[in-house]
Amino acid sequence: MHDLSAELHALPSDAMTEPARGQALRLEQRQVLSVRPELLVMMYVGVATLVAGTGLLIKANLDRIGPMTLLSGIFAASALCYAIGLRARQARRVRSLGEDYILLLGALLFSTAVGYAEVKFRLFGAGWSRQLLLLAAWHLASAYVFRSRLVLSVGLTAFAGWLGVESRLGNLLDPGFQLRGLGPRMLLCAVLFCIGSEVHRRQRDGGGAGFRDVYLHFAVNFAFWGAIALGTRSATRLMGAVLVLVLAGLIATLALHERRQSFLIYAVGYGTIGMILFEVWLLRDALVVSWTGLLTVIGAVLLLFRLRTRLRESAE
Amino acid sequence: MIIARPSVAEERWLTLASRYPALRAAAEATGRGGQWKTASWLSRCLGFLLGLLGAGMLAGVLSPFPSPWLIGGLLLMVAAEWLVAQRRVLRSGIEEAVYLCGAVAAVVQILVWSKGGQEWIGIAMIATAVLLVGWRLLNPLFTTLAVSGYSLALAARGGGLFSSYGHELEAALFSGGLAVAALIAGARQWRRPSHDRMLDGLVVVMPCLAYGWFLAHAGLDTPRDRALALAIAAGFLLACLIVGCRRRTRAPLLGALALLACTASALSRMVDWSAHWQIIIAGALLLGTAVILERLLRHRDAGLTSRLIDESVTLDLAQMAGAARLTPGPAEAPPAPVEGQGGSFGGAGASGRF
Repeated sequence: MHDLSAELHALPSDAMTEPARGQALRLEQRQVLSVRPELLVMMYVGVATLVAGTGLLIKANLDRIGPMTLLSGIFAASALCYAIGLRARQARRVRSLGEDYILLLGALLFSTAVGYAEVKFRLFGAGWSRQLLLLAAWHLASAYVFRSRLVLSVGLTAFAGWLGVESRLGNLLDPGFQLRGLGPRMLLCAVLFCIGSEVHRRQRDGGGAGFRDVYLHFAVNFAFWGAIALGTRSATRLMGAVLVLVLAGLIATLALHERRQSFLIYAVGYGTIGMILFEVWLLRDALVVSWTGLLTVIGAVLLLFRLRTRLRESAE
Repeated sequence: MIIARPSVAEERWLTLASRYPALRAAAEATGRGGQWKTASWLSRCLGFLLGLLGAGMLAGVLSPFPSPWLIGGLLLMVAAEWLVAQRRVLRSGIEEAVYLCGAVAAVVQILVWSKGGQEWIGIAMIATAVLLVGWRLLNPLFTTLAVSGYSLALAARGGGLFSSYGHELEAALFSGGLAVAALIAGARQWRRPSHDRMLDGLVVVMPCLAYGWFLAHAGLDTPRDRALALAIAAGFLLACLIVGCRRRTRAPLLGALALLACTASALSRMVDWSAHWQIIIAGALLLGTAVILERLLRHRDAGLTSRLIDESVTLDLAQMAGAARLTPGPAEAPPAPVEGQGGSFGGAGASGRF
């Protein structure tokens, strides 16, 4: 054990309010310990295990139990989870951490059941991927009904999954141009998520329930993945490299403007990895790539130090 | 002037600044942190990744030279030492990755030169290099990795790394003994926070290693071995829970979480249920226990509580990423309709697809 009470006492009195000092002292002297992170891990692993077990149950007992019984069971379990979320909503109180994860379990079980029903009964026939769009719509609607960021993450992932499977931009534009790939679809996702974050911009401190953050994180990640994915095709390689650099610059500016350290990490991390990948794809010679890669990493480290100093880290 | 590492007082102020972000500016203003430049967790992770990438690129650059491991290792260690001693960079991830890669590369070169040596000695040498880097940079992850490496070397004594070990029981006793020692030593008030963290690492990892090595030794063919394995996992779990709750420290509770998995694995070998029911029941129990605990501890102001005391951006990000990761992927596409051998249009291969 170690105790930093002496240092807390040594801080000037104007460094913090008395209640804050008291709270910090209680933490240091171990009068109180929040086990919330441990409970969170337990809940996440519990949900993941339950969903994995359900998948195995479907696989192992398909013939013995029958699809209708299995589907009814999973839908009933999902409905029970949603009912717990609804109870909190009707009581007009903030959901507890446990209720949040039970709601997430409900959403995931619902996805599992719908996916299984589609595989078993082929409800949509050739347009099978539309079940993903329906799922995305369901999850997004329930995320807004319950104001749940976890369910919103599930909804956005389902939407990206649908766009990845179904959208065929190349048919609409120039069929000869390589626009059907993964990269453009991810970039389209990023644009849509960015629009979603803009919708919530005004709600940042109130009713948005942190939704803007979720949209922004998804948008930034998908934008970088899309730009890097452009590099897998020779026709769009250079475009991808330029886009990675432009995105890194934009996101770093946003990070400094909004004082978000996580975005700075995205900008430098994705920027560096993206540039090294493009060097590998464009230069090909191992020794040359090693030299350029080394210089890129050194540049990234210097940039990270400089940007971190500007951000003053703890601002987030 | 060469500065070895932060003094005890400096490290305590640095820990205070990183533990309470709201106090960072005030703690830095006191000037007692010794002008060391530290980073947050997210930044440290990126720094470590960049360090690894840089070390990999340097390996590529040096590949045409003779003894590239030694030259690269020495260069990396000099660079890391310069960052720490001259630039006063600490816990930024970069110097940690660079120092680690350098030390391991130098040892690997020695192992390459001494062909035919016993593998367990090689493992022990690499573990020693990692331990020295951990001590130099006050990094608990490295010291824990090093001790885990020693337990591997002990198990592999006299054999090869990828062959049957033969000394797993000694490794289990070593790991179990260290776990107990670390649990006991954790009761002491340590002046240097990093020394406390090093013990924490042992408390989290060593009980699981003891269980793992016992599994490897016993094979669990007989009910007696299975019961013994369960007793080891459950015994450590209970000890960690009691110590964590009594001392109100995080490491034993984290160790208990890892040991929960070990106990579940030991229990699963004693029951004859199908895998999916085992997984579903384990998941339901875990989720149910967590929900009940959260409910019970929600309103407590003293002792263990489930209240949110300080916001964590990292935890927030992890939750979002975790939820996205759990989302089931798209279902399989239906099989394509049967087409004639002649292609989809025009027949006789007019479509060009066969």
